[in-house]
Amino acid sequence: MPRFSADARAGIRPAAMTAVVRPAPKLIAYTTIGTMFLVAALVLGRVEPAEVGIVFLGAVVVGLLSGGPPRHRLEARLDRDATLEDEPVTVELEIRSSSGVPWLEMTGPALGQDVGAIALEQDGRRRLSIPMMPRRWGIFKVGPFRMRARDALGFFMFDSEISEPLTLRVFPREESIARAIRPTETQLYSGDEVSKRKGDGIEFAGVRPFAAGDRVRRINWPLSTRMQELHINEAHPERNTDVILFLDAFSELVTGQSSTLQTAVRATASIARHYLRRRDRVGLVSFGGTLRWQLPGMGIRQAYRILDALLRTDAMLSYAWKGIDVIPAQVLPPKALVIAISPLLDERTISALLDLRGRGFDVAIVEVSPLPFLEPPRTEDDRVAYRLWLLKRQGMRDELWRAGMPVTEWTEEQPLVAALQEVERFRRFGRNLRIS
Amino acid sequence: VLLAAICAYAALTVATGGGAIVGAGAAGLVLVAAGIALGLPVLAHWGVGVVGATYVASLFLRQAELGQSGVLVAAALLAAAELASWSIDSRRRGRDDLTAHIHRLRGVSLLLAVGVALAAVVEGASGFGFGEAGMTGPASAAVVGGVLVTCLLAWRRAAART
Repeated sequence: MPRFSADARAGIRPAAMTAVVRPAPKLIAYTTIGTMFLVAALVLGRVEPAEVGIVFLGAVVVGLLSGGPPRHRLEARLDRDATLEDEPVTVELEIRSSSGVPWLEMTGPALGQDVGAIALEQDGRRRLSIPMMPRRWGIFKVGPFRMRARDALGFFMFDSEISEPLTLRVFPREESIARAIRPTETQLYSGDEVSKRKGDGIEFAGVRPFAAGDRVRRINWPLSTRMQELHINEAHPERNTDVILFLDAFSELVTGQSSTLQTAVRATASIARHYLRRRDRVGLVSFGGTLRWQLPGMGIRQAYRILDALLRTDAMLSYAWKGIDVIPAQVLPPKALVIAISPLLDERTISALLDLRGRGFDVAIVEVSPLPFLEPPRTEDDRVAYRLWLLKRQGMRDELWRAGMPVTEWTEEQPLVAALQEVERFRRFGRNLRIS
Repeated sequence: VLLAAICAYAALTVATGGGAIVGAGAAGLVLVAAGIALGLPVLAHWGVGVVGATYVASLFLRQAELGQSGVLVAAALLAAAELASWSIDSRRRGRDDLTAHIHRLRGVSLLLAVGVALAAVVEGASGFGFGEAGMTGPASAAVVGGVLVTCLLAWRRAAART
């Protein structure tokens, strides 16, 4: 994956600050208590309640006379606006005050409890660095940043906030894949995949008699001498491939901080990175309640496009039936390898994959196992239902295998490359049927 | 501790109704404790108000002569309310600046000094014969009116500045 550099926009943002003055609860409480005690003094005809009342009201008067709004400014920025999962990011806050602030506290939902009270002298400034750890991929809003200043006697609160939150893009953690699925067919452009066709290349493919137009440097002289006839060496050319990543976003099983969709997106990002590194063209179809696609492309720009599309992926509940006819034709180029990453929980996905295979696409399925996301069955009835459900899933997998689509089950605890190699084994030794 | 001392003082100085005084004072203490624990300053302040009310009730019950305790009780109530506010404002995981607490201590001391001075003036004035001359009512009314007018003016001034 390309290294993520700090965005120029990640500098200090001149975000507008809004400020509101509020009386502190004690201002109202002291005024009420003081007045009540003075009234009690009148009713009882005693001076002691008046003394209590005058103390509280005197405090209020002093507070009102001394309380002035502090002049301060808050600026917030992230040390980078893009990062990877589980890589720390620092929120840097800078508070400046031209008038001095006796008591200042952050009150935002994310940072409010982590920063203690601050006091700033006149023309003082304070920098705060607050580390954050993104636990999952996505586009996150950091903020809004709120702070509350109090006057010296605590009778007024001056709330201000930067209403525009900072945007943090957290890219999925990626697994290094040494070798992924080899496509059955290659494309026309140069790449890293050895084509099954014969042509100009390095990989030796065989020999054949010389024909007009063949290059002289390809003549196999020892064989030609023995056979008394010119023969030339043939080679497999190195070509690129088209890979379409088919991400199933119809359904999602969630447990704790993890979900099948999160896992699937991580796998998709890793596979995309692998093929893009090999100069293959990679496209993306996010097949779910909301259909998203990315036309096949290559290079670092395509890597960012795919990551950006993945970050916006979300499982959206939808009852509408969707088939592959809703996918634009140019997203699925001929002879493309389609790698589906799916928990295989939704009938629409399975139907779409069978349809793709029926149209002659080379399809491989990485099944993000939903089993770790399920609670173990508790009662006997649950256990029976669970076994039946497992049998039904196995039947569905067999149907996909019969259609010529290798299915490999994968959990996040296993290396992704192992799951992908299972597909390779199927291609080598398994049945390769085509449905009519 | 300050509030408990006021409750104990109020309960011990009455001949009858000590139980009720103790009950009301305990309720006030519970309110203060709950306010501090839950971070609700309003609850804490009204707890202080309830404890102050128990003190007034004890004065009513015992019909005592004018004593010197009024200033101390008033100062103790204000100190308790201020400490409760301070404690609630400091309920954060992060470490506070020492300077912020020094500012706060300075503010609390100023309020206590002003409060005690005002209470002493009121007590001194009443000791010099306002009460005997039947002037307690008008004098208190004048104080209430004056304080309210001052509050209003100060509030408008503060609002104009912001």
